[in-house]
Amino acid sequence: MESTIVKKKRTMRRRKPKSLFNNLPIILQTEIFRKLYMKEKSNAMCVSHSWRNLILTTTLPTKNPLDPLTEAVISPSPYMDIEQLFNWCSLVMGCRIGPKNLIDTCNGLLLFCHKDGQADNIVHGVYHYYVMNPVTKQCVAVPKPVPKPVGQTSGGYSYAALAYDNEESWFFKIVRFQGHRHINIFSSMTGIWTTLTIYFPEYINDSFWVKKSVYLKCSIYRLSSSGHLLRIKVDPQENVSKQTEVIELHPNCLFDDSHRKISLRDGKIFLVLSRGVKFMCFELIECVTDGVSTYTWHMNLSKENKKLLPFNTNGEFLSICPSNDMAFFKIKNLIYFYLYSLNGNNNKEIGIGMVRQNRIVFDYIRTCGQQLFECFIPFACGLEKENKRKFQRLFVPK
Amino acid sequence: MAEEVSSQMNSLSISETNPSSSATISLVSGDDIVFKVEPTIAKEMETVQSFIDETDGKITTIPLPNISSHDLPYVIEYCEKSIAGKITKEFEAEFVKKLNNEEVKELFLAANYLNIKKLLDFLSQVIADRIANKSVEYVRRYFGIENDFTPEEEAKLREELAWTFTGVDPDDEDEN
Repeated sequence: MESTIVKKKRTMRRRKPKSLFNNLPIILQTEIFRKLYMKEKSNAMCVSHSWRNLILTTTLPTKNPLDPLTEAVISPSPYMDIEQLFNWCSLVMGCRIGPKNLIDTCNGLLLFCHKDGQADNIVHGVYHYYVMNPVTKQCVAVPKPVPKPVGQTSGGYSYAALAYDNEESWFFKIVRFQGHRHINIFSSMTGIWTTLTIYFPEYINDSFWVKKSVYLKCSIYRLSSSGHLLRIKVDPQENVSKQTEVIELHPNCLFDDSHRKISLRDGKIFLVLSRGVKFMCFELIECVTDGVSTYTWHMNLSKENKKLLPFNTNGEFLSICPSNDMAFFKIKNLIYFYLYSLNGNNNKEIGIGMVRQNRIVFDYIRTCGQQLFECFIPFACGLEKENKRKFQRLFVPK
Repeated sequence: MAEEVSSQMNSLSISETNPSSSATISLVSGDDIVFKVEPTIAKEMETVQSFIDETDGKITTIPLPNISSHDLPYVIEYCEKSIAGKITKEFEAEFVKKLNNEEVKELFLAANYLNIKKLLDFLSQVIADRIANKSVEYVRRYFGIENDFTPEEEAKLREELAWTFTGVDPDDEDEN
């Protein structure tokens, strides 16, 4: 009798902790996970499926002032370490890649498209998308949507953009443009591609869409040659007409010889115009009333500089780097930067200079040119859905 | 342990027999023990306060079937300190020291039921602290959670999150 009691006591003791977490309502479990810092969450994600799923679906990385989540890369030259970056990416993908293969960057993630990547289940010669975070040393290979989307004849690559913001989700999406009428969306949460139909007026569909995107709050923004900013919502909308919006550019941007670039600055869409001797910056203000958005462009810089004239007439406006207040131009094989000062129209010195020649930097600014960020949060992918026909994590050497 | 609890119960039943003014609120625990508290305490408990408000203060006896007479005094103690503005790090550390895992959980549920934001916040931090900086194995053992990942899945996950696995505390002896 006594011995059974002792035995019972012992099992009770051992079992006691069992109930601490398991019977707590989900909402309370979430409350606890919210309190964890990034590293602790990451650790807790390895405890069990339910912990991982709960953390991924109900919490976001915690902001910690000592431990930033995303940071702009701002050294004197914002692209100083770019050569190293591409070397690392080449190593992981198992083939030589360069800035030409980088089709988008978004909050610290890089999106490549290539057919020569090497991994266990990748068939050589078939295009895959590669999503990488060089800081957390992650790489995922995603095959293009199968079966081939309607109307798609060539097996080549088509333009795609990344949708990722660690303040919204641990997961990323790839948004692939299938002409101007459909988008294919890959979600790293579900591991599958879905297709959405998008409707734009004829004059938009007939225009050229610049192959550079900005992702902000669940929408992808692209410029069209018709002088509009296209907003495409990544999540399916109940009403198809709400899926897309056409935003008129500021009247100053509508001249034929206008050179325009978009980027993000302080969480707003940032539009830069370069034309003749003029250089202007605008930010997009969205005002929502009764579910309908209206847009205005707030001009926050308007400058004239004679030195810009040759850039705008004989050269090419390549890209902007908002954190450094820098714009890049190309004349023949030389790249120049223009240092504008956004903070008011004070007489702060404005500089124009030449970018030191380096093949990779040159190619990067010319072909991609987006400002680079470092993201200290590992992105997440659905664990269950992974198989060789879908997407796979690549081995990343330490 | 058992002795401690029963002595606590005694002291509680004494306080329960105290005659009180009509202004006090009677909280009745799940095991039918009545606790008289000041209205200011009731204010801290949103669930109780809204009950009082709904009946225009006519009803001052409130049944709390989900909370035992063992947990309620802790809740009241915390609320008293909170009103007095005396919630300090030291008090919280002492408060937690008295509690085992099961009690932490019961109080956490009670705080949720009574909707006491500060207590809820505090206890979720207490539990979070028991996860923070511990190895995965330790957390599983401590919380009694079964590892339901396949070895491949776990390997992948650890690879994926390797970047963050630095500076984990060495595993303590299991508490309690």
